[in-house]
Amino acid sequence: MPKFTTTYNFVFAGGVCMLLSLGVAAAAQGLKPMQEANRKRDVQMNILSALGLPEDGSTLKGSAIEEMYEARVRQVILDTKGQPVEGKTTEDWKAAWAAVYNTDKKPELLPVFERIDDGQPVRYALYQQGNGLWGPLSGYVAIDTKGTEYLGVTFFAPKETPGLGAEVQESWFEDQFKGKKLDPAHPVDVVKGKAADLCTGDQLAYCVDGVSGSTLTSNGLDAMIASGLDIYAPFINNLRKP
Amino acid sequence: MSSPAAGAATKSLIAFGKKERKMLFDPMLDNNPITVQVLGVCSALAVTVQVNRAIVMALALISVLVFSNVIISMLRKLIPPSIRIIIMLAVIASLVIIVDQVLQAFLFDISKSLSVFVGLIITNCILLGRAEAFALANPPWQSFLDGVGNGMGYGIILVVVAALREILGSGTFLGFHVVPQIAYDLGYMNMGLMVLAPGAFILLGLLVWVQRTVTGYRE
Repeated sequence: MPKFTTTYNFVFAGGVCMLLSLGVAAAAQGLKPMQEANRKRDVQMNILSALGLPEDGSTLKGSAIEEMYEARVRQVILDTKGQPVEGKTTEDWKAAWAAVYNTDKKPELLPVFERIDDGQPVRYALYQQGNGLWGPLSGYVAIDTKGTEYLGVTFFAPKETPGLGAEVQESWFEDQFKGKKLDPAHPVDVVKGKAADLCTGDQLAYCVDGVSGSTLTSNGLDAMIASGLDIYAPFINNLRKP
Repeated sequence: MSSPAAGAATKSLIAFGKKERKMLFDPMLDNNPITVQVLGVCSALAVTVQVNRAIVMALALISVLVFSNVIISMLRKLIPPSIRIIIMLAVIASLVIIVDQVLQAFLFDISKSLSVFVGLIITNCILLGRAEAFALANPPWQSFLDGVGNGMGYGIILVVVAALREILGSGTFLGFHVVPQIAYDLGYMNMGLMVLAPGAFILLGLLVWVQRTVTGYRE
């Protein structure tokens, strides 16, 4: 039985902390490559599913995600006028969006993810970012080539409350956006309750059901959709020109 | 060839007699950490919407609890009583981070849906409770059994609550549809309440009642 002197306590606590931190560091570093691959695939799968890929609506696993992404998705980076710019990378547009996060400014580079069927772009996914109740929201919104309709969305809400705000990442919520009208002047609204009860006539095409108990996440989502439409308005208006 | 003395020592180290059986199985029913001791209720309410999440959560808790019990038990004679709580918390917190990292690497989707709750195992009263009440006073093998028993006790309740909530609330079990389409055609509806937190409270309350009636437990 050791004698529990103050010195002993300090040495023991220090030793335990040292050993534990070694264990934690080893796990974090050793597993990092796999975790990063998972995160990258997660983003790619979200872009794919916003674009309606794979066609049967299934969720791909592992390297199948990368293969389909490489084969079917092309990333184009636009300037604020909606014109493609050459020589910019994913890191560049991410940095441009990070620079304006939580400000009123608009990012200078806009990524557009094109779904390619037989060599032709048939859908576009646009990136969005905003704030929920507890932390950042982001998402990919897929639209048709005429710029008139939503074809699918996927949202990321990593900090929102599971079961409440985080439900916006679930397919029952996301699927509601399919077929909603796209109009830069009239963003889709997440209503507090059932859209069918609260929106009438033409308005129904701009309304989706809210998640009960997550008004603040819904408000954040509304703001994100509105700002996304505003940011991409030049691109969408180019599409809408006859 | 082991000498008789070594054999006896091994036997006493990993014996599995009546006492050990009690350590392992008691927490699963008679002394269940959730329904009898009412510990770890927060996560039992939060991650029981779907069975697969509940299973992963239970496995995560079992592995943290078993390792923390064994580690604390091995260190029990070296841990200064005055700083024992912080030492136990440090051990538990490190194990939880490691489990979280492993989930993020191997079960990414489930780790995403469990989100904060794996991290919150750190504050799960079962862990600190077992470390303080059992592992600090018992050898590693017994602490191991105690950890498995209590972890399973927690896991069983989690999976039962999750199974009921998923079947009643979503009509599925492990993601497969179990309520036949014909029932919906005849006007059956999923019980939305079960998906929300009040559903978990009600079910857990009913389980506590049933269990205490069966075992005759009185506060």
